[in-house]
Amino acid sequence: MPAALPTTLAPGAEVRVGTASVRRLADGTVEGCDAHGCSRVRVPPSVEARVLPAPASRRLLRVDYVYVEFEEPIHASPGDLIWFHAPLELEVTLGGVPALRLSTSRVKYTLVGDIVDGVICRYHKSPVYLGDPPPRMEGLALAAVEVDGDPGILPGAGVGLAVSTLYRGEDGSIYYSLQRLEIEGGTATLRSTRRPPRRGLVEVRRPPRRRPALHQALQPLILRLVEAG
Amino acid sequence: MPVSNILAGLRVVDVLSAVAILVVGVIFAYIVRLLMRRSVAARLPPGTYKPLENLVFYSIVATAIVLALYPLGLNLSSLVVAGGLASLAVGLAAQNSLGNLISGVFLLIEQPLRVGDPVAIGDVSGVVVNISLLSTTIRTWDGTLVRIPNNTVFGGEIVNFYRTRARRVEFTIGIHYASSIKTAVDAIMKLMEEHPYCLVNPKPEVFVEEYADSSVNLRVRCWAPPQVWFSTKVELQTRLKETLEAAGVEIPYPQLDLHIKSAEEPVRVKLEGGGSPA
Repeated sequence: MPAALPTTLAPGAEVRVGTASVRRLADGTVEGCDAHGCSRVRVPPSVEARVLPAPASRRLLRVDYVYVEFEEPIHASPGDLIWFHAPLELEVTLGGVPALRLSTSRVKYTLVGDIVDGVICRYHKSPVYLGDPPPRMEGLALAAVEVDGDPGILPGAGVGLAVSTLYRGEDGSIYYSLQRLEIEGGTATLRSTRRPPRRGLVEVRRPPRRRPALHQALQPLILRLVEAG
Repeated sequence: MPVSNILAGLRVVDVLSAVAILVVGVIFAYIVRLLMRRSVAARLPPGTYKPLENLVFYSIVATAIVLALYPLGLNLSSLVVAGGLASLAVGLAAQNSLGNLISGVFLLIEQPLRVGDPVAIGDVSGVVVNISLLSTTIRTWDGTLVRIPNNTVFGGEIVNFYRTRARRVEFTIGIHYASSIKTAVDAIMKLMEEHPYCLVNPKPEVFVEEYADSSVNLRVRCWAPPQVWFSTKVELQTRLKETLEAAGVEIPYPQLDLHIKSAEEPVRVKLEGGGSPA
């Protein structure tokens, strides 16, 4: 049974999500491991340790976007809602202070755009679904883009991490906030919203963090489309 | 108007006004700097914020100085005339400093480098730790601080290793002629695909670069974010040997085939410290 996040770790307890695990030893020490290593923080047992879902923006490198390549390109029309799986991270807070960041899947990066003006994004490959949300996959979040503008063939989509919010479903699935994708003249521009991608989701409250730099928050992600025909 | 005439006609009120304008201007500059530090500094990268702060601060101070001259009956054009030969002498003496100052202003405006950027300026290579109006300070890779006049920085060749989104990691590895090229290429590609910093796009690549004397040389290329370029290169090169060994690919020593044309006469071998040849 996958862990329901957020959760509190009592001494002796362990949480496993995807490739990440967080363990609290009897003396209060917190140990977190993922595919890229393990870290330990010594902390008294009286201090509360919480494990929260977090956007996939901090493990190894700090990035503002996830780029998800679809297993097959998809034809997108205005008004379509396209669903896919996106990577997720876990944040371990000790007494409300962020202490560890772990990835629930293997970390990989890609460049979207060219060498000079492009954006380094967290990379993930996922099946793509049209209309209804796909089934939950262990260690991954769900994301949706709402298509606007012209029809086009999309090889992938993105999730803006700097301004997006996480939501939790009744079954424990974690969702990124809805993304809007405007297709125009062979390029698609991604913008994040703070709206949930479906009804009945509850916002995951996270400890306050530094606001993203203005230029990061306002910078849209420009995706190149697969040329039709 | 001669300077002596101006000084003779000065009233205490004018002098006080000039000092007041100057003091208010400087205080205003400090207040603006404080407000910027509280509201803007957190929203901008340090490399962008610091030059902006310097530019705003010194612009306000310079404006205050110019405004403070008016109650004294001076303006910039009269100052230039009044300065006469003295200005010329000072100007010549301060030519280098003025050059550095102007280059510093251009560096702050154009920003070919920012604080924290790894750069190479001429023979000096390292991380930028400060850009002031007169000089730029670089911390070299071995930890020493080098102060370079802004004239030299602006007029010279600046290589900025951060002003690109990705940087290519590249090296050559030789495999034995008896080993399979395909096996080696597949093993190296897998290593790069599993490495988090080897970007998916631009794609990594491995190809035969040269059929050399002792080995088939493969060129290995992948792109990495500039801030982890060096660690990616070091890690790939370190893991490459064990990856190839695990795949059964041999990395050869330099070798030389010796062909003996005639086998009729015995080959004479001299032993070190031994007696007569065998």
